Amino acid sequence: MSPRLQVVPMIMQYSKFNNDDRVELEKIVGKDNLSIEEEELLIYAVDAFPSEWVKPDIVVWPENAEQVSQVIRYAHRRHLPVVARGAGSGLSGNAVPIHAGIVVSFRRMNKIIQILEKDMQVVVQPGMIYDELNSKLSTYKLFFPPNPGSSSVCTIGGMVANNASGMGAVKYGVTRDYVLKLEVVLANGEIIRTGSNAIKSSTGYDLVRLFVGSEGTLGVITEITLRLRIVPSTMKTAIAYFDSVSATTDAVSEIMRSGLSPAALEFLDHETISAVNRAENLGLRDKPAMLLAEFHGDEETATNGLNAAMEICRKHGAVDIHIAKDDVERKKLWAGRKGAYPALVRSTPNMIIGDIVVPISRITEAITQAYAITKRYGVKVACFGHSGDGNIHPNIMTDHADKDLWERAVKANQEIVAYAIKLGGVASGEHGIGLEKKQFMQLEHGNSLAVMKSIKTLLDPTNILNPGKFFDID
Amino acid sequence: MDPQSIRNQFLNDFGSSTKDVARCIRCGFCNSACPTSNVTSAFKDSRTSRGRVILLQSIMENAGNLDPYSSEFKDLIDLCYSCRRCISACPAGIPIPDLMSHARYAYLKHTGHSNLTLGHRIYSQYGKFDQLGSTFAPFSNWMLKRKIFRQFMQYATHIDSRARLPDFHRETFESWFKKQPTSNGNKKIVYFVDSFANYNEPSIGKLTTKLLQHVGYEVIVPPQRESGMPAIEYGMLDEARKLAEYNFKQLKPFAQNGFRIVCSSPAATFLLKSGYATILDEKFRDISDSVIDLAELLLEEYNHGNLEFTRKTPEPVQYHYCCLSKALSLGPITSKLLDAAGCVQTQIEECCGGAGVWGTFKENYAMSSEIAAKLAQRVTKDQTLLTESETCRLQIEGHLNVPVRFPLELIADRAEIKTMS
Repeated sequence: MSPRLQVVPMIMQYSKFNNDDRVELEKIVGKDNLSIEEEELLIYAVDAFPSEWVKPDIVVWPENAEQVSQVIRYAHRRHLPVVARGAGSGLSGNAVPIHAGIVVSFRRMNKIIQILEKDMQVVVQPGMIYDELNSKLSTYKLFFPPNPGSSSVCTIGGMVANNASGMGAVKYGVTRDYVLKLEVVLANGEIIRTGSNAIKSSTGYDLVRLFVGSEGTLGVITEITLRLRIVPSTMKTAIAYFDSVSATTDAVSEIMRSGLSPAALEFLDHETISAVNRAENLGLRDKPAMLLAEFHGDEETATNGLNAAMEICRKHGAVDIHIAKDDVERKKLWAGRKGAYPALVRSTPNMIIGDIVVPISRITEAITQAYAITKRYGVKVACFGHSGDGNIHPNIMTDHADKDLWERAVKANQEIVAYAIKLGGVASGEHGIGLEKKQFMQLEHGNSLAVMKSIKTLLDPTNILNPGKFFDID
Repeated sequence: MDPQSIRNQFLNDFGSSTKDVARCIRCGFCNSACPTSNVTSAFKDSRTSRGRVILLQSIMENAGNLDPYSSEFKDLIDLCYSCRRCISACPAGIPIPDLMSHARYAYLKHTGHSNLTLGHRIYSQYGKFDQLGSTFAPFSNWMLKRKIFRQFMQYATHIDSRARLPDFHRETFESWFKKQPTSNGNKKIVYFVDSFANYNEPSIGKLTTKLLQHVGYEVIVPPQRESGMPAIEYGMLDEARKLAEYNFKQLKPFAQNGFRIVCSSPAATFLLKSGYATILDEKFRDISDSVIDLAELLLEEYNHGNLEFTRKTPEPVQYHYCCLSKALSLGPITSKLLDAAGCVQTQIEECCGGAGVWGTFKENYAMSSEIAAKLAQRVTKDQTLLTESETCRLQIEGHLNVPVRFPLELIADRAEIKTMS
């Protein structure tokens, strides 16, 4: 068996799932909406993170919040673990049921409940797929901006649970910035509604922001109200090549301080550029670094923004600048950036995908350290990311089948993350904690981790909700 | 056999495809492109593209207790109908449909062909049955239109009585072609006709010949058998290899002598160009570079000034970009050709759900209809609907009740080339 990142759950005494449990759950969701078949359970034993396989005892596909509530109430009574799951496309093992138990899949709760066009809001079920939502919203010229790389498959529930984001975060922010109201099933099965349709509020603790990014450890989200943005009329894009990473990040820093509001500032290093060029003939120039900038707005605002940003790039030594003349050229420029991840995946048997965020003034240092650390461990790293918000993906090339290489890659990744935290950054910008980044929680959060654990214990005293994620409860 | 030995045997027959399975990072992007992963019943992840690859990974990694020779596993694998849309969605470019063919091959090697329905066995050698149908036409057509016969046929073969099947023609393209005087083109080209244009719709073969002659070719039609897509899909790879060997043997001398081989069917283009080589044996790549799709050839001839469109009135058309044309990236080529012919196009990306003959099986018919219904939402009935695939045309006409034409028919119309009788 290939070496995998080990799942070492602490000894947790949960009830043993039995046939009576299946019968009771069948009464709640119906016989067509659950499975204990091997071919089903195996798929829920993993997600997009290379962990060990841990099958749940059962998977259920509820059709409404009431069914979710009854399932969780039952699990609470029987002390069975419950793991909520959207698309299972998470990169940190967020949805792997490491204590087995019940997986609650939201693939049947995937509808838009209401579009509040005048308020620019939408009410959705958690299983709605991101791209499908935006496709439906486009009729109203509205969109939900976070745009993660997995937009074609990820669900809104998964995005909220992970506080996901993507290339537009530098202008539009992250999922958390858009969640106004939630319907949540608590660990005892109680359904609560928190938040409101108001854009601002100074009333009480902000439970919405607490549940967002909690990865199903505090409650299970069954309905989401999102605020939306107007689809911009114009998008202007350019790429600039630089002779060094530091020149690129200096330009990024100045663009951000200049008062401009880029909709994307995407960075690719030389290793990534080379991989893209090897995989597809997209004509990227063989330079140490590349920056893609995009501005949204009306024609004038977008054009002026882009021109000003390119002027800053020139000032910092950009050696070649290409501004897209039309939408066809714009898509071509984006093809280079969007080709980065597939090109790297194809270039190596396996890859550890980093997700650090550092203050933008420290990007150069974080990347330089990533190069130095990986060199020391004898592994290759390719960095790209959302430099406008300091989110860099140092991707380490490795191979599961080569135990030594895999372990060196894991260690290099640990050091890169630790260094980012030392720079005032975080272990993950958009992929979440899950299993993989649990190891960094203490380092990043210090004694505030104890407060987090207290919150967890308060809301889920018997630790049945996605146990073993974030941290272990003593 | 103990479970471990069973898995080892399966993996042994599955062959080098294990490397591709190991490369899957389980992102699930393939699900977004896979038609059967987006039907109502696919809320169960085992019924999705990623689910199928994860199950193969579980066998490789010895996780869980899945029996690769169970009918439950085979039923899930059979939900992949080789549309190949997943390959472009996959960041790692894994040829998922080929993995499924190899999984079926491993399954059949262990369980034997007796597990296949009669319908599968007929389709896997459709050339022979097309020949039989043509020999007895029009009686065979009359029979296939009798409800009682179709019900019996459904019982015996699993081919759904509602599925639209093609007619047979007593005079095949081959017999017609033999009667034609040798044309004197200044350049020669080999035409791989495939079974459909030979037995089911010889008018396609005739029109292709006419178009090729019109742009100056002398057409050569060497002996050939069907290209064999169903056999590959069903995992009957040994049978498919025999078909490929035969066609390869006939075509290779031409390829070696610098002749080009033109196909009017996207399935044939796909198999001769890359499918035989990637799925069956790399040696078949020796003819790949000589193979060209008819649309590509006609565009080339148009660009060289050898094809002129005399009918100038703009005509709005809808072009259904079928799965295999997509796999061959033929869309932009056909699009340019239609542009040149004065057609104002709307492209329809959705799959029709026919998937060759997959949608004709009673087990798949409802799902096939659900996929076709999504396509129906995109179709405007007052515009000419075009598709390059013969089986997509049958599926769309059968499920949407709208007429569908081949682009080559419209091209011939616009160039005012008449079909020969």
